[in-house]
Amino acid sequence: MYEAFYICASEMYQRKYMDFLLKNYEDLRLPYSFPVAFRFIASPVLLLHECFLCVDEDGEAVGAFSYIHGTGEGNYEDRHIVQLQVAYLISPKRRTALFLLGMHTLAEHLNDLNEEVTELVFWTGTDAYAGRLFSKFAERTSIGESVVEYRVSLNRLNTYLSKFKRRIPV
Amino acid sequence: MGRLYATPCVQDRDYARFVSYYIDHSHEFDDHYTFHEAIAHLMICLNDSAILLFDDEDGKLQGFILYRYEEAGETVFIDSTILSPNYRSSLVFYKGFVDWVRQVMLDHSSIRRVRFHVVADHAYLNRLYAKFAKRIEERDGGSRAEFVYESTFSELKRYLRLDTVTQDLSYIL
Repeated sequence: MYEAFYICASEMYQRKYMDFLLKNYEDLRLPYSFPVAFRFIASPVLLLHECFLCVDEDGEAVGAFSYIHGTGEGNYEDRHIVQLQVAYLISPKRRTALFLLGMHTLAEHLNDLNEEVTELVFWTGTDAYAGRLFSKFAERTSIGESVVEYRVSLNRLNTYLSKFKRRIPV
Repeated sequence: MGRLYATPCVQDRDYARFVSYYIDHSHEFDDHYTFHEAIAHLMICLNDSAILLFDDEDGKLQGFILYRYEEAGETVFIDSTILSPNYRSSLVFYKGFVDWVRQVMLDHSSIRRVRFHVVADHAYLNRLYAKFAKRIEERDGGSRAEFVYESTFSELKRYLRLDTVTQDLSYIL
């Protein structure tokens, strides 16, 4: 079994990213109306180079994630904060090593950017599994009815991921 | 070529199917219409638009009409519409249009007029739409000129014979 994450740098891969997330839309379980959720998914495509696709050995998309710089509350001027828009792996691929590889891909990408990124913000569902998973490396910063907000500094994420160097199949 | 079935887009999975279809087919509006323009357009218009979907007998999407209500629900503006090439026939066009008009009447009984834009250099579409709507102005549609068409809703219903009891469409084909 071999999977790898790629930046969707070409239109062909951006189309693949959109197509993959739309095909799996119901399974994303986004707690928003479709027009709002679509803006989450699609805005990184318009901003270029900020969506990623996980592809298996046959070239089939099995996962995706994307981010934008800045937050709504900071009027998108706080570009040192990166906001994860969507992250998804099809269920047969949901295993720790691949999750860590995705996180590692994102962290390395942010470390290598020409502009400084200090913090990540993301939202998850309110289920206990998500709570256990994300509390390992991020702070819960607000709890809503259907979403929980987490924040983590890029430094802390790097430190967390460095513990798993041998488990990340790069 | 079988028949198509009209359904309003309500559920998330229908929205997702519609967006995939729109992105895949939007080059048919204009060769210069880009993938990024399609995404940007959908991001803006999905919020206040309605969509009528046309599925084939296997439930595969073969066309849509994307539209929105303006002027306090008195005008319906057709944003865009695409029909898969295999289904482009007078019969499918008229049946689909009738389905759409019925849906609009259900949504807004106060509807008075319909408006839409057509690229100016598309002779076939301009001939087709001139049969039931008046060209009221020309506008700059970005990369190409467009004509603005308008029709009163009652005139459109007369054209589609929806103001009479007959459901027989053979007279206009």
